[in-house]
Amino acid sequence: MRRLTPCGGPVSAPASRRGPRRRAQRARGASHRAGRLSAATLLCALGWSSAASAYHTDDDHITDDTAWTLKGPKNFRLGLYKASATIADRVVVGTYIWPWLARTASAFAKWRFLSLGPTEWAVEGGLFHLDTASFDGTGPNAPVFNIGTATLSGTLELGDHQISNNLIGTAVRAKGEIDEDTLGGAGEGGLSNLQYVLAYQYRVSRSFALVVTGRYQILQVLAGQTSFTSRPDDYTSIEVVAAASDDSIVNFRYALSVIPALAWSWENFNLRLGVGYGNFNVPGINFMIEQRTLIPELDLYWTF
Amino acid sequence: MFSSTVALGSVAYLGAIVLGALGCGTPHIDKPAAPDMAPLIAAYEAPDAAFDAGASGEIALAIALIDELLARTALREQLVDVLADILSQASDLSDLEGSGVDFTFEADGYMRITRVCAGWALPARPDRDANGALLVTATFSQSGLDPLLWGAAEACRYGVGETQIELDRVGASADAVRVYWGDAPSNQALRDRTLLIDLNLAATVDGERLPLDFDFRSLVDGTLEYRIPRQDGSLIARVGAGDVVTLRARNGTFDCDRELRCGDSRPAGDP
Repeated sequence: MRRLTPCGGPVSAPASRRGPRRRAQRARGASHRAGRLSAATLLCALGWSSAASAYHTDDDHITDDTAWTLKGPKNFRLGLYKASATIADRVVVGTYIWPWLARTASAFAKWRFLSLGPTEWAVEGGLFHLDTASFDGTGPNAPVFNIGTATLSGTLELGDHQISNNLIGTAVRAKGEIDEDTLGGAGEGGLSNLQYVLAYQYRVSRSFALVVTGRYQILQVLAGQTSFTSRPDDYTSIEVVAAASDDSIVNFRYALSVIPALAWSWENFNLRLGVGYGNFNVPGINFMIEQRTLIPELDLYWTF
Repeated sequence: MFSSTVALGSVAYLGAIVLGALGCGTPHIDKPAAPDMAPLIAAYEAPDAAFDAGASGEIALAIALIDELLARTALREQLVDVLADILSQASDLSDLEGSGVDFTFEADGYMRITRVCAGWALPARPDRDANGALLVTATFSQSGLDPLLWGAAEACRYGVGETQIELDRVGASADAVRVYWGDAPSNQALRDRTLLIDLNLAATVDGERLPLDFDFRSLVDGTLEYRIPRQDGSLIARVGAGDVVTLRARNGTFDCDRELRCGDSRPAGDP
């Protein structure tokens, strides 16, 4: 049986079972013979994709916003946003890449703890730590941010259709020093939110799928603790220790977004492109921007 | 059926964990515990001692003594200054509402006020080591300032005219001064508040050491009420303008002069 690859070339089914090195060599050879480097061939080359062993199968799944983890022989993911490794059956640990450029340490772990018929269930936890002293050297009282996330995911797969429900809790803690002329002291604040993410996926082919992701912010809670000393005159000093909280901050408690995207998955290379609308969500830390805008989506990564 | 039950159970259990984690994000403030002034408040509201005209001289002397101590030490004025600072600070905190970010400030916490005393030398200098200080603690919650505040004096030196005053706490008491100012909104001015002040201080007035162990209530109209302890409870004496004393007792309300020569009683509870 022969089938077409995304690059347009025929490939025999056994070829998909050959080693990645040989397939890569064949892919590079095909590109050179073409004589020009179109966007499509570039993507194919990136994906070592002469063998169309597609990802959208019963064994290979998109893992973002779903309960799936990497399965089968693939243990690593490296991409624009994330790097991860499978350390045990159904357990993945990793890190977000971009935050490291801002000297923010990050780590996450995902455990697909339950498979029940057509459903998969997973929990994921993430941590971010940013000490702004590493930027300006202002010392031990420079603002420090700690962010924790917890996600419960459930995915229902029915043939080529797949629907995933995600409940995501995020807690941000910030601690630092207030520096004003008549006000000196330390502050500590927190921002927590709860989001619901619904991801629908339709598997068009083995290498191509349509994905629509809806995100709804159920609640967002501001909580702060501060201590400072006020000096209204030379004789008087007032030390204030206060906590503050609020659950209706900045009027976007009910932020939402809908993003349709196209997802290509070749043997190793994955590409996702989409455009949606709504309140942009900062990946990883799950903070939604107040203004609703068009939201472009681009992600690319390799699994191996 | 089994799978859906397990799945729903998992959702509920893990959802609870997520929500619990969110709840943990709210900071908790351990507010210092306020002293108990309930018996004193009750005594001013409903005096429980009976007035005996035969004890008029003794009661008149007690009223005069408190009057004299307050006048010589200007203690009420000193305290009012500190209380005004507290209200001002509370107002500043409230002003955070709507500044920068549009959210309602729901606060819970406390403030400790240190007022360095003016000292005896002129010009006055803010030198705590030399002149001592008044220390006051006030707590607040989401509904505003709490109704009680308390504090102490630490070798607080100031002058009233030519008189040199030094206030100090008795022992190591942290609530040698206790103030009840009720549940009025934080933005209510001090002059519009009734203040119940309980003192347990030692005063040195021009070298003479005097105990300041009494309480009084400052009313909105500027008059003062003193509590006169008796064997069977407390009497409340209001000292008004024109040397008129209104004495409230279990057995009625009496209008008296300074020597406590009183007219007929009105029913207890009459102002």
